[in-house]
Amino acid sequence: MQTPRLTAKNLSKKYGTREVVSQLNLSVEAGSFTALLGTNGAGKSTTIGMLTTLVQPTSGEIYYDGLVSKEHLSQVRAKVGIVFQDSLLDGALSVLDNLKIQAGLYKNIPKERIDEVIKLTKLTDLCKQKVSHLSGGQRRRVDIATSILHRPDILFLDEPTTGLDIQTRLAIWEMLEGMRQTENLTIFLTTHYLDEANFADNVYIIDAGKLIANGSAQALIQMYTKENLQIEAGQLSDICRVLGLSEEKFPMIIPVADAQAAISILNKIQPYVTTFTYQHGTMNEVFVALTGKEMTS
Amino acid sequence: MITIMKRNLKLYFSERSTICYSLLTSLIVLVLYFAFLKQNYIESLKPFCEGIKFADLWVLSGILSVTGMTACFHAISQLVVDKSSGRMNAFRLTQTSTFAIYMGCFLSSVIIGIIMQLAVFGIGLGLFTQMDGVVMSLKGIVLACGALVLNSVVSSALSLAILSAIRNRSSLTSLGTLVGTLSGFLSGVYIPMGALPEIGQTIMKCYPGAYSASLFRQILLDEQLKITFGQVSKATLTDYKATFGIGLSLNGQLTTTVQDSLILTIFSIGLLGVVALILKVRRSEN
Repeated sequence: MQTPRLTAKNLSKKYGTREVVSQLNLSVEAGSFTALLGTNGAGKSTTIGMLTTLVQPTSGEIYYDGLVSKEHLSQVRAKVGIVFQDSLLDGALSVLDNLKIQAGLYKNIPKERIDEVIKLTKLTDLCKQKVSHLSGGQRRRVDIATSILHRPDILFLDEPTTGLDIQTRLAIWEMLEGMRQTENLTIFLTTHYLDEANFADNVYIIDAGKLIANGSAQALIQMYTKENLQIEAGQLSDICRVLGLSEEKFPMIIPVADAQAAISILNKIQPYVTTFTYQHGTMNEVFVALTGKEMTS
Repeated sequence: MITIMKRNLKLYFSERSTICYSLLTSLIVLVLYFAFLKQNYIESLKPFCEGIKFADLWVLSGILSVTGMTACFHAISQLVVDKSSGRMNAFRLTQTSTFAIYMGCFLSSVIIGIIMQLAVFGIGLGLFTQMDGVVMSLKGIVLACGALVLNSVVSSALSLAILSAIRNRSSLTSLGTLVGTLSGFLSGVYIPMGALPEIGQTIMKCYPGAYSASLFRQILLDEQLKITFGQVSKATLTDYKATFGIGLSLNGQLTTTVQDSLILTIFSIGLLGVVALILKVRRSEN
């Protein structure tokens, strides 16, 4: 069996007497896309801080490709790239200057690598522009470019798309997905936009520093949400009579096990139905079902 | 280290307002001198030959000492900006050590300090030459350049020691104002050292900028002293030198240029040692 790229065992962090992360266990496969979800203050940033070696855990161990993180700090840091929640670029300098500075902080990053990353993140036309003159989405692309210059194995993104419009978010996701393929990157992110987690191979949901659910997005949706059939009809009473339902509520929402069950119901009530919608469960519903809270950005 | 140095230099010189503000702090003292103080000095130095040229170079020496401190403090402030923004964390994940980052910051500050002092030296000397016919020998100018390098090193070391302990950006502006004002008084720019009580003089002697100012005065006034105080006895000359801070009195003797340089070097090494200690403590805390 292949060693996971990253494993965290019983990871805890206490600030004084306050425990912000408690006994967290994580496993991230190489090349996978993992999402860490939680409300504000759930411990996401502290977890990322610990996984990236910037925050010392109070207890627990982190392993990268089998190496104990705290004992092989420089080796582990060479494997890690991070896009911080707040952009940390030098606004007064150009995009190219920012990339050159970041490259200069590592040993032996050739000039060709800077050119390669510029192409990969589609920054060619922006190279000479001052970072302070860029839009939020363009700046995010520069953040991502600086974080992958040293060819990390795993890229951490702490709420990378917060505050960006939907087109920009999609463009960034397309770019990250491309980099996952070409750079063989493992991606680990926290996000406020739960729809972004729909694409994740593995989702970890934490609440008050504790892991409350883990699995693929589809598995979690199946486990914690219901598929719904929404019916609109002239006379709901006919539908209630056929299906043996007592309540007449508009719009009529009937929970179903799967698509086949929905088709079977539709066959029975077909003469009375004006229109219908078949609704899949969402990560948002998973989140609400597990934490009892809506995600707020 | 070199990358951080280049980056900080680019950041500093990319903001024209920063450079103007930095220069203005020093040039305001020159303006104040021209507007209010110069006439007083002319009156008090009337009995002496070319008293005004002496006053010009004496004031310029003090201004150079303060320029080094304010410019270097401003340059090292980038470190606090990096710490408070989280940029330092991003640096920590790279293959550049925290010590190398601090040293890069220190080197950039030394260069910025030298450039800003050179600018003020050029402007000041140009003005005094134009207005009062002040002339400096090439030897004096070369030695002054050496002194401003030393002043830049010690000012950068002091700023680094102060700002290593600070993580919060909000305290930076008030601290900058405090440093600008205090360095002026402690270098004896506004009031000659001899006019201060004993305790004031003792406090000044604990501040490295006072030795920079003394070094500048000894170099810039070397030839002018012979002209202005050429007629007085050696003992009287020593009294005048002590009063104007041309050499600081240690163990009853006025410091020489070599001693001032040595003291500034010791201060620099000691302050960098303090920075290394702060970094070590921080590392063990993390």
